[in-house]
Order: sequence, then C-alpha cells, then structure tokens
Amino acid sequence: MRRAAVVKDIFTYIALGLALFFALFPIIWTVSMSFKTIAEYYTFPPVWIPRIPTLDNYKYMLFTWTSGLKYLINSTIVASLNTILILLISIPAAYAIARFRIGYKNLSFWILSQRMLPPIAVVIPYFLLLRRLHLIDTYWGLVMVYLPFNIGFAVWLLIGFIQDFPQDIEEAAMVDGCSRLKAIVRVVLPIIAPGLAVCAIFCFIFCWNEFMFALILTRESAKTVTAQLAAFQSPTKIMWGEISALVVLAIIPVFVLALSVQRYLVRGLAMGAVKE
Amino acid sequence: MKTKRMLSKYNYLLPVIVLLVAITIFPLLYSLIVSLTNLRLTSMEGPKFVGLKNYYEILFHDKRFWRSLYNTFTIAVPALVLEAIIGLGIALLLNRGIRGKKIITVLLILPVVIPPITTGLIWRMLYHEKYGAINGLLYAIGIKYQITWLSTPGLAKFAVIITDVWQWTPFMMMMILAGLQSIPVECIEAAEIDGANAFQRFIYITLPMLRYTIMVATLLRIMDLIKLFDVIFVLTMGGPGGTTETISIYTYLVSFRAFRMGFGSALSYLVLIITVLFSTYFIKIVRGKGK
Repeated sequence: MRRAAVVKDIFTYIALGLALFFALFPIIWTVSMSFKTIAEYYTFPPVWIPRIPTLDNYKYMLFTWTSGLKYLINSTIVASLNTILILLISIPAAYAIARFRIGYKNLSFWILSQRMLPPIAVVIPYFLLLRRLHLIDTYWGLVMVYLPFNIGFAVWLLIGFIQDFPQDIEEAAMVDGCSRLKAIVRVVLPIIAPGLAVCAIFCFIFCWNEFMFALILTRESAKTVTAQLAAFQSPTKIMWGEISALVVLAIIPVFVLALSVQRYLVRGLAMGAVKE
Repeated sequence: MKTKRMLSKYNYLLPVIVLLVAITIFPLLYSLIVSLTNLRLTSMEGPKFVGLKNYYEILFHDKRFWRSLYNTFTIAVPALVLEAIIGLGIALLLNRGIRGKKIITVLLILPVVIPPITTGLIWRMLYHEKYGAINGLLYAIGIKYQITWLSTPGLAKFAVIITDVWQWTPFMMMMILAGLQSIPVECIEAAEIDGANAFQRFIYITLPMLRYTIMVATLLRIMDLIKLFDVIFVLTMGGPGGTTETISIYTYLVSFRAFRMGFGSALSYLVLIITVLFSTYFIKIVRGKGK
C-alpha cells in the first residue's frame, strides 16, 4: 500500500517535471538567446548557454531610441491612459448594475459580450473612421479602440467586488449625511481598492499584449512594442539576439503584473464566469 | 421627484452606453454599409453600391474563404482537444496535494500571460531549420536531419497547433483546477465509503461536477481560436501554400494588403456572425449558472 503511494508520487513528479520543461524551455531558450553574440546565435548545433554572455543586445534595445525603448514607452502610455479611462467609466456602471440592479439582466451581458468581439470584425471600420478623424498613429486613437474590449470584463469584475462588499456600511454613511456620490468615493472605493487594482492590472496587460490594432492603426510615432516586434521580420537578416532581448523586455512587465494578481487570474481570464 | 431620482441613477450608466454606441455599434453599422460596396483604397474611383454581391461571391465562389474556414477549424479542434486533455491531467496531478504545488502552478502559467506576438517569435526561433532549438535537441539525440517545420505544408499546421497548445494549456489547467477546488470533499468521501474506486469517482463525480467549468473554458477558447492571428502572423503568415491561412489572416490580407475594404468587410461580418453564435451560447450557460 505504502509502496504504491510512493510510486504514484514519483509518477506525479515526473509528469509535472515534463510539463514544466515544456512550459519553460522556450522561455529559457529565449533568455539565453538574448545574451548571445551574433556568432553564437548563428551556429549549429546550437550553443545552449552563451560562453561569454553579452549585454549588447539589451544596450541596443534600450539605448537606441528607435529600436526598442521608444515602443516600450509608447506601450506604457497607451496602456496607462486606457486603464485610467476604463476605471472612470466602469466604476459608476458596475455600481449602478450591482446596487440599483439597473440592466442587471440584459445590459450587463451586453457589456460582457464586447470582450468576445473578434478584433478583425471591427478593425476595418476603425481604420477607415480613424483615418477620417486623422487619428491614425496617435495615442488617443489606440486608447479609444481598446476601450470596448476592456470595458466588458472590467465592469464584470467590479460588479463582483461591489457585491462582495456589504451595503450596510455605505448606507450608514448616507444616513450620517453623505450624498451617494460621497459615500461611493469615501467609503466604497477605499474598501474595494484591491479589486480596483486587479481590474487596472488586467486592463494594462490586455493593452500591452494587443497586436492587431497596434499593427494596423499605428505607423511610427504611436507604435507599440508588439507592433515593433513584428516589424523585425526583414527577409535578409534576422537579428535573433536583439529580438530576443526585446521579447524579454516586453515579457517582464506583464509577468510581474500577472504574478501580483495571480489569485484573481482565473476570474480575470474567464471574465468572472468562474471564480476560484 | 421620483423620476428625477431615476434619471440620476441612469447617469451612472451613461458613459458606458455612450462608449458602446460610439465605439462598437456605430463602427459595426459603418462596416455593414462598407460591406455592401466595392470600396478599394487603391482605386481612384469612389466606391459603388453593389448590394449583397460580396457575400454572394464569398459564399459561392471564393474557395480561399472556405479553405481559411477549414484551416481555422482544423487548427482549433486538435489544439482544443490537446489543451483540454493535458490541462485536465496536470490539474488532477496538482490537486493531489503534492509539495511545491504553488510554485509549480506559478511557473506553469507563465505562457498564458505573455503577449501572443512574443509567443510567435519565440517559437519561430525554436522551429528555425538551421539554428533552431528543436532541430538542435533532435540533433543531440541523434536525428541529424534538419526538419523544415514552418515551410512544409502538413508540418506548419502542426507547428501552429503546438504553439497554441504551449500558450493556452495552462489556461485550461487553471480553470479546471479552480473547478476541482470547488468540489466538496464530502462528495468524494461519500463515494469512497460506498466503494467507488478512483476511476469510478473520477467518471461519476469529478467530471460531471467539472462540466460547467470545462464548458466555459472551451467556449472561451473556441472564440479565441476563431480570432487566431498574432502567432500565425509571425510564424507563417498563412503559408506555406495557404495551409495555415486562418479566417482572420485571410481577412487581414484582403483588407490591408490588397486594400479591398468592401470585400474584407463582408468577410469580417461572416467572422462576426460565427463568433456571435458561440458567444450567445456562452452567455446562456453563464446565465444559467447565475440562477
């Protein structure tokens, strides 16, 4: 009996070890690539660990303005502006749906369905309309088109957080003479602050990771890091080391942010349909 | 007094409604109109109204559309099945109360959160026939043949599927793990006392109780797979010979490489209709749970 349990445990660890290898090897390989010189990434069989690790690829990406840094900054600006707007719009909406039960049945699902909109279905009108408004290749153009995609799950997450919070406390504040708006700002928001942070982080990650809109709706001045990464595909020479460095730089922020909301990852990715 | 109060309550929803009307409903109506024209950005003449001609062309004469639909589903179905099976397997293993569960879970979910475009680039490097790590690993175990993963028709589709499995299996795993943790221990214990063995407990208790979670996760993945674009954009751009050209890639090429906006809009409307079918079903399930 005991022996069977030990065998089972060994099997479990071997299987999980294989899963870990499959999940992590590609990332480790890329990190290793980013420290290689050109001579080392153009060899076969491959050099697994660079013999003399170089920081040149990172220097190139961070200190040559139009190779990497500019686009990392653009991504940060677009994602931050979008996140702020999303919170401003979705807090009152989520509050009304959760507390007044307006549109609890239909409107909330309509808002949720925005998240499922296929980007290719709206990118053509966005392109034509933004061209007319002279908003192609601007921060605001990109910020605006990201709004519908984030609003869906932002409202849903916030409805969940507001419902978890007892109504009595804000009613007590209102009995004490606060207006409802004051009660929301002074009482509700501070208590659901962790929820707001989770929501903001998800919005930021979505904007940071988005590619199709960034590719089609920007040219150079508002280009984000994902669009820049795709632009490295020159047919003649592919600068794998440099690209790897930018890939690593683009992954680090989302990874750190995702770790900080790890507890809510399922809720965020499933748009509130599944809670852990 | 009362109507005034009602009005102020609706004010809370005003921004979100204005936003959705301006940024989704209006553009969608706009592209519906464009889809009824022959708008081309490369032509000097203005667009002409052509009625349903674009839709007719696509549905009855456009082999490339049907091929892209076929490609989308022959990538989506194997990817989804693999993700569900592997995700379920890993979730069950993690749920056995092993040591180091937390750290293993964190490491496993890493691929889900990174930008899909980086996933594409990472795998493009791995698949590279001359300097890639996969051929390098095969070389290390004695297979000296350099496999051209991304330029052989059958293999390219396989390569795309594996890349999707790499990025999204952890999502399935997380969802199923959350579902497993919500199953009351008493249920399993009661079955154990009644003499059900591990396999029976899994088939008759665990799986039925996971039904909702698996349905939600599957539908979310289907909708994502219909949109599949970023990874293919860097891996194969639809090639070789159109074997990985999904519906999103095809629509993109028509609209933004050939600049046939009218035809592209009609294509995008068909993608929208397919997605709406799945999302209606998704919402129905989530709603049913709420009751």
